[in-house]
Amino acid sequence: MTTKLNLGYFGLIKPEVDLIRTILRTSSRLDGGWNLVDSGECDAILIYNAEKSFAPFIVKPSTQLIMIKRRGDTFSGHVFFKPFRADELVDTLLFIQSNSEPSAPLATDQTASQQKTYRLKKWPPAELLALHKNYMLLAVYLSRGSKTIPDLVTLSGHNESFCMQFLAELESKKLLQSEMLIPTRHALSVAIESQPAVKKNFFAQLRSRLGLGKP
Amino acid sequence: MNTPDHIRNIAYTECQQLLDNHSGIMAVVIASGDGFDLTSATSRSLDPARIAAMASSISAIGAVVSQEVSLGKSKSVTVNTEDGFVYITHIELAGTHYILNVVAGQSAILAQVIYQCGEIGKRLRSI
Amino acid sequence: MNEYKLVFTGTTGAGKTTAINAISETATIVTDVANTDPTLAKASTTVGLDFGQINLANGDRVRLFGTPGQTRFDFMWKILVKDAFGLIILIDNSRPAPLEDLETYLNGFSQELQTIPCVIGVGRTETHPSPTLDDFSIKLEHQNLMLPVIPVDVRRAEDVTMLIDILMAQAEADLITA
Repeated sequence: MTTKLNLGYFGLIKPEVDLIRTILRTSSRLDGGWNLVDSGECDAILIYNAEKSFAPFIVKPSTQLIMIKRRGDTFSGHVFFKPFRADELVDTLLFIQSNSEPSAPLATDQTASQQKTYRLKKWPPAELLALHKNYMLLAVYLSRGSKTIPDLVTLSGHNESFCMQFLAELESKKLLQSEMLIPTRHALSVAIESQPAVKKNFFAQLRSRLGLGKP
Repeated sequence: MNTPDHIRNIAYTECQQLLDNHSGIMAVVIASGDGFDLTSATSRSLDPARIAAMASSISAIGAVVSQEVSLGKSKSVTVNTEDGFVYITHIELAGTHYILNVVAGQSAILAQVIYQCGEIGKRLRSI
Repeated sequence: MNEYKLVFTGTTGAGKTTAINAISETATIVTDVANTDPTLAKASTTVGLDFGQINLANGDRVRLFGTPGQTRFDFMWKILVKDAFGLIILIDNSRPAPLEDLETYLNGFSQELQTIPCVIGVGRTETHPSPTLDDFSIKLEHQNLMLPVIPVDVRRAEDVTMLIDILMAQAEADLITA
């Protein structure tokens, strides 16, 4: 079995801590892969609010923040809604477990400041999209807010050179707007960065059901 | 709709009489199944075209519900509100199905409206 | 168990009911009645809603709703699109003014289009190539919208699933912002 991951908590009352501990122990899907720790380093931490310090927990750059919110509140980072449902926490922890690279580092990422973001200025002509069957999806991603090349790679499943090839086509037709990535994009706020496990799971389930697959 | 004028006029008279003779009734609209108003009588600034469209949607949804639960054909739908009710039922006019829709306030009596709509339906069917 | 809603709208005859039929796992519930509008070459028309469903392996459900096409039923549009995760607008390119048709739905759903994903599916482009897909894109641009426009034949399930795939791509892209 792979190394166990540690889940910390900050600001929870004892009954909530006991409940979380029970979920981690009894979930067959987690299969003992997560420990609830009371201090020290953790791979993810359940919190009510972003704080400057989470002592006695040591939060690494790769530590994932899981915000506790009231059901019905909107939030786009990792979230655990109250009233608690065990399967939702399990989904989130499995998602974190399956992603080896940090999606929401706490420290400012040096390389991010050198990255560019891209977005469409205008929808591409049909003739350009017809050049490759997956150009349409890349255009879709670029039409919904600025994206970096790593974003496009993650979303499309294509390699960097394919994505850059499409960007070059768009650039040649002056359809692309590019800007330097602002470092604060990787700031503490998980709300901007992380992808909610529940929604990603839904997309995967629906794609599977409709017989669609990532390229 | 290709309803002859004289039939339309008879239908209009029925709507107007129901409106005039019963306290609390605010609108009487006869609509085609697909939501066009054939004729109407209203005492407030209610849009008969809008009412006709909504009545046809509600009527169609009522038909689906009764079918889904195997309770036979839907005969009417009543929307009870804080300040009155909306009653939607089916009639036949010159061999064609229409929807008779009554919008009423608190002083109207639902049972009376149901009865009167039934009588209107009988009279119009016999034309 | 989570429930999701997907809405199909568009002109009468564009294929909303057909599209839902193509992918629904349950028999589609329809509220079709006899059409009395002489300008429409259809025997029947939807006045309430179409309803279909897809069940996912984890127990979640996707509810498929089709709206009536005519603007006199726009109150149903508002009801049906509430809390939808995506909207598909189907346009019939054989109609006299498809670009105006599109504008009708862009206006009718203008509030929702500020946030939820939307794809435009244009039917009958093989026999009616004009307006072109680029014409639709220009029309969208004039309304400050940038949405995918693709040719479809909604009788084919793979075309309908392609529309949904693009909707999901939009939703996934919305999860990442910069």
